[in-house]
Amino acid sequence: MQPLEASTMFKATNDLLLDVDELSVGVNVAGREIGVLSNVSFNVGKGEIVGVVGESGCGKSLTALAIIGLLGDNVRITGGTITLDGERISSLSSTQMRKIRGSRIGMIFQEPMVALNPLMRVGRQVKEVLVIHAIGNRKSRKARVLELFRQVGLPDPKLRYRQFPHQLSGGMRQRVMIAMALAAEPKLLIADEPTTALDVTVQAQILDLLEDIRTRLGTSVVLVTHDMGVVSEVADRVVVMYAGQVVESAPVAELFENARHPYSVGLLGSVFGSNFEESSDELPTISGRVPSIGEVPSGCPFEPRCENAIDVCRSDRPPAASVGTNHIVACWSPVELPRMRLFGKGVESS
Amino acid sequence: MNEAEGAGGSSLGDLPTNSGRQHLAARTGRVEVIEGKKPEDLVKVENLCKNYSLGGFRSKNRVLRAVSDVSFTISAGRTFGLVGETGSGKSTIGKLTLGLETPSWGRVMVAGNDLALLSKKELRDLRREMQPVSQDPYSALNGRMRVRDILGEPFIIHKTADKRELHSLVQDLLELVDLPKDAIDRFPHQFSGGQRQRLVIARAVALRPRFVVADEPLSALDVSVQAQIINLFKKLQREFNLTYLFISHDLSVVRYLSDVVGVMYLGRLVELGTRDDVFSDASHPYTQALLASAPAVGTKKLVEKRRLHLYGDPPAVLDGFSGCVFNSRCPIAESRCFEQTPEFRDLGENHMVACHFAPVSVDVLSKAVERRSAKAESQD
Repeated sequence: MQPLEASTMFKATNDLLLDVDELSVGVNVAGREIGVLSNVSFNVGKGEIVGVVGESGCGKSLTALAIIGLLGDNVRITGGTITLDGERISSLSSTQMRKIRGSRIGMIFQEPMVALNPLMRVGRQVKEVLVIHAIGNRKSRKARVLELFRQVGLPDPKLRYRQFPHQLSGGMRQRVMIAMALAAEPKLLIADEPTTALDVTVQAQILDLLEDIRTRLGTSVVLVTHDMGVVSEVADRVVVMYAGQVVESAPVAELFENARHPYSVGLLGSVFGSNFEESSDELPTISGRVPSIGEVPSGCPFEPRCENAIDVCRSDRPPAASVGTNHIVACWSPVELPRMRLFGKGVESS
Repeated sequence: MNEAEGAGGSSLGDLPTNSGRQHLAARTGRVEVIEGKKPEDLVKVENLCKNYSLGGFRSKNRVLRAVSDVSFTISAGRTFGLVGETGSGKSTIGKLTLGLETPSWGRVMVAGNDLALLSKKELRDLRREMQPVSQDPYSALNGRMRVRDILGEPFIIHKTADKRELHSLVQDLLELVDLPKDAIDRFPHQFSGGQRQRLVIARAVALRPRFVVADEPLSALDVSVQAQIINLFKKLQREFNLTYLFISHDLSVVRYLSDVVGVMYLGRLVELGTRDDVFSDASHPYTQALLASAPAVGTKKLVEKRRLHLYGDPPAVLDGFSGCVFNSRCPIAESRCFEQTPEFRDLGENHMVACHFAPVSVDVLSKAVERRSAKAESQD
């Protein structure tokens, strides 16, 4: 399935599943509230895979945690809304959120070893989800877990059912996590760096599995990752975050061909896939580093590192503007098109 | 360095020859550094094995074969890239080549010296020539030492500079790795990850070594910072004619930096050749699968990718293993692969592959993978 077609198809029917609108999140540090996410907006269509990318400290994971309502005690939503399937979930109480987590939103975390209970057989852990959400009865639950294990490609499901997490390999543990996330048939999966701890050959298997789940079950996926390669493999659309803000969002092919925000362009330039040509050239880099919490400038957050910066960038935060179909950029002086091509030869042709 | 392109390759195969003299030099106890001449082999690894005992009761003492029968050479001024997944023995090789671990079998020659035959003092002297850059810049630096002391320490340990010179030497080092001069009085925690890695690199090159082992030096860093560090590695190599053993699981980084590439799987080298040999003309099924699995930047429309994904995870290498190391996951494995260990043979021009069926084309493999998945589905 071509990812681009999938995304346009869902857009055409306007089947929105998740809508994050102007979400702002603040952290309380010693009585002072520091904004860590500001006006984050994006949406996810039914059956769509949306990649959220950025470097560490850009607020990707925090966005994911805000959606599933797992922000820490000193962190709270200070503005904006999160809507799931027409229901505003950002203002729900924690008891109400509990019902939604697992049943309507599934979660996959980075470290399957940490996320699983080491003292509990994995079969029981997955079954627990069914028990909590009161799905099925005692007999049907076990059958359902075995069915889930088969679905996520765990070899020898009956044996795995009785095993403990330490008896499984990293890839298998991540499959158990995915089985657990899928147990209550949620419409939305939040995957936070699901393949970062895995080897490439195993990573490819897990990405295949995510795509397969989307195709067969129509599950939407929010894929949080720092890896542009992973995004380009499976995502339909990409949301690029920087310093707690969305700087650009576009369908994946559009972003890779026509990125407009200087940060996205730099990020793509720093990553070198199989397409780079000469090893003698210096790699393009973004100078400096991501600002830490509390030192984000008042203007455009990327201004100190940006080569395109103009005066207004220092004083005012750029608004999000549409520059194409589903292509949104928050920048006062976006990279002009046609810019130098990232792929193929023509670095000199502009 | 004239036959530059061939240099990496031509030195790959001729292992046991021509090392007698150097061997002798080492045995007489002099640390002799052989200078000049054509692209010499600075580092030579021969039939290297490393076993770790896992303990156990009486006769059941289990042995983990971390590295088995690995041979390669690195020419001076070149970069040897070592790729492979977790547990494939890459880092063990890094430690062995630095003399931080002793081999169970085989030997490591650096600048003509057999590491195993050197006395402690000689090894210490030779360490000036070979330095590590580790993965985690957070734990590699002593948090209680100022930059001045961290970067000055190598000079003091090896007594190559007196105290008055230290200040300017450290400042030169900071400049070399593009850190501000006023960094000299700061502590490691006052730097970002990328800057810390610069400090680690500065310390490694302080004594102008010839050989640097970089073990996953980028994996703790953000992508945009990774590119900066890669450029630094390249710059230092140009300036000091450094020889790198670059260990990484990231294929694109290895492809970008290396002249010669070795692919490891479960402690064995399965493929070895020039960068183009390995990346454009991969001949081992595992290398093919590894290349196909690595996510490429660009959409599927841009990058036509074949689905060549492997089943399962790599097993642990314990004693009593027979046949090819890759047999449990290989799509084209036959009974022979479970009985006979494939020879590490030359496909021509020192492109070495350990596979009974090499060279294996992508087509053959993808057909085999298709057949397998069809079979698996019918079993369901």
